Amino acid sequence: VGITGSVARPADPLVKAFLAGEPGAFEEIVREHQDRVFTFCARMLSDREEALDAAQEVFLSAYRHLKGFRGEASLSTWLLRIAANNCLNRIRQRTVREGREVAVLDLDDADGPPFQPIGRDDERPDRIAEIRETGRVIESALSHIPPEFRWILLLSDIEGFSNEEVAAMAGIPVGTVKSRLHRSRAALRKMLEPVA
Amino acid sequence: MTCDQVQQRLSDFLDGSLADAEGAAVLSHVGQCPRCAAEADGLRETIALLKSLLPLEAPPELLERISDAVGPSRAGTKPSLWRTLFLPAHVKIPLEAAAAVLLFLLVYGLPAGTPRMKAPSPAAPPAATLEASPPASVEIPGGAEPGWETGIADAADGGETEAAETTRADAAADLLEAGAAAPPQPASRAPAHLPPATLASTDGRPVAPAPRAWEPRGAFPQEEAAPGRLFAAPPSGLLRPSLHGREVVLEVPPDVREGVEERIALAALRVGGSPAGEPSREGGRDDPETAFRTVRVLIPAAATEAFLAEIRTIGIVPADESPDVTDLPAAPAADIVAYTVRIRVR
Repeated sequence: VGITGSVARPADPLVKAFLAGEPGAFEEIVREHQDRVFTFCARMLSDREEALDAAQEVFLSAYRHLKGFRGEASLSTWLLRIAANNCLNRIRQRTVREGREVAVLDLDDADGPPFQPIGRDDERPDRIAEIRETGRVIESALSHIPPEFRWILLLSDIEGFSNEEVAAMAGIPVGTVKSRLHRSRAALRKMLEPVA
Repeated sequence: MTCDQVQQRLSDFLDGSLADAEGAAVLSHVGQCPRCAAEADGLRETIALLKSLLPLEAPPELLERISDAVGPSRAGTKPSLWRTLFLPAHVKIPLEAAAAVLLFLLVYGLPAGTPRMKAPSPAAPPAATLEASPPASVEIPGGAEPGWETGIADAADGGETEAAETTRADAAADLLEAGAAAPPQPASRAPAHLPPATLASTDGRPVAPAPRAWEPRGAFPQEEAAPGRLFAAPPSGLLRPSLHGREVVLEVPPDVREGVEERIALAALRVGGSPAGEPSREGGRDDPETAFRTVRVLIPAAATEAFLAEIRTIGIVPADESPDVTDLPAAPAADIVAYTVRIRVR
């Protein structure tokens, strides 16, 4: 609901086209956002096939609910919110299925996450950019950040959402977003440090 | 500000979300503390690495799966012919149904259902009575038996619906009214019961109250086997006769112009044919005396000469303007000829 009290209308031309029933509009929506949604799901789930399933569910959910999309946020924000919820649910189900408790990250834990991908001095964080598989290393490190922290890190530092936007998407206070973001960054930095 | 306090604020400091005073304090501490400075550099580098990550490429099967799930027409894949014709169903099906009904009416419904003005003669006798007394004035070429209207009863006996019987009975009544009321001799004047043949008075009304040439075929089941009877077009609109066949110019003097259309129609009836539609005005001239009017009739092929002889009693048929070799695919059957008689006042 906008300032005037009127319901916000979707400004995205593809959404308008879809709501107008134009054939091909939804395919264009998928084409435009599929890489971003799939990437987010892959980084959240660390599993290509599960990420594919999740991304498919995201778009099917969007297909069913686009009529209710009021355009208060961008379509990409809306899709990533759906993706985040979908991935978090999957991670919770996976955890329950595997009989483990949902990971609660103690980023101050001396043991830290088990991931230690870097073993040589020339793979220090300030030189990782020079390494051929930088992206793969970071992806691997990300997978060891607990999901409740990871998705905030993804949305903030990769997708570029502000703390306020992330807070709105997550339904948590901005202060909590800041705290989790800092702890996630610090944990990731630790993981990317050389192993002594 | 201690190192722990600074390090707790480093992310906000790097994001620029600290208040000015707090940010200045962190900046001052980092400038003096190598440990906190290294921590700040490490965080900055980590954020930079995260931002440098490129998006992955979604596998092609993602779009395929979604298209399969939501349907190709909405997802944008080229819709199939079936979907093109019938989706969205709530729109297309009613439209197509209406189109089908309209097409059906055009093919089968309009000729029989077209309102025709009955001649203001006494009420038509029942079909049974008419069957026993065919109009003596109508000659049936080709030796057709007088029971040509018995086909109506035959059809009625053949399990036809009551509505169809009524329609056919009405058509027969119309025809018989016309025939019974027709004067036996070549009339120089229009029959009294027919509407006047002036342009003003005949608009929208048939000149001769005879059935259309494409009356329901079932009403005359023996028409093809019995040349000279009134014939009907095949039921399919595709086979409906073209009204462009042979053309005849009929020149009449002005003093006998009135009623010529009716006389042509009666001539057609006499030779076993029938008028085809209403007379139409052609030529585009405003003067009703000089403008062309055309009367279209369908004549059995065996009776064309008789028909020409009939209309020559009405006026002059210039030989040079009436080519006898016009052989256009005009009529509903090979043994039927469509004539367009142009009336020229001269």
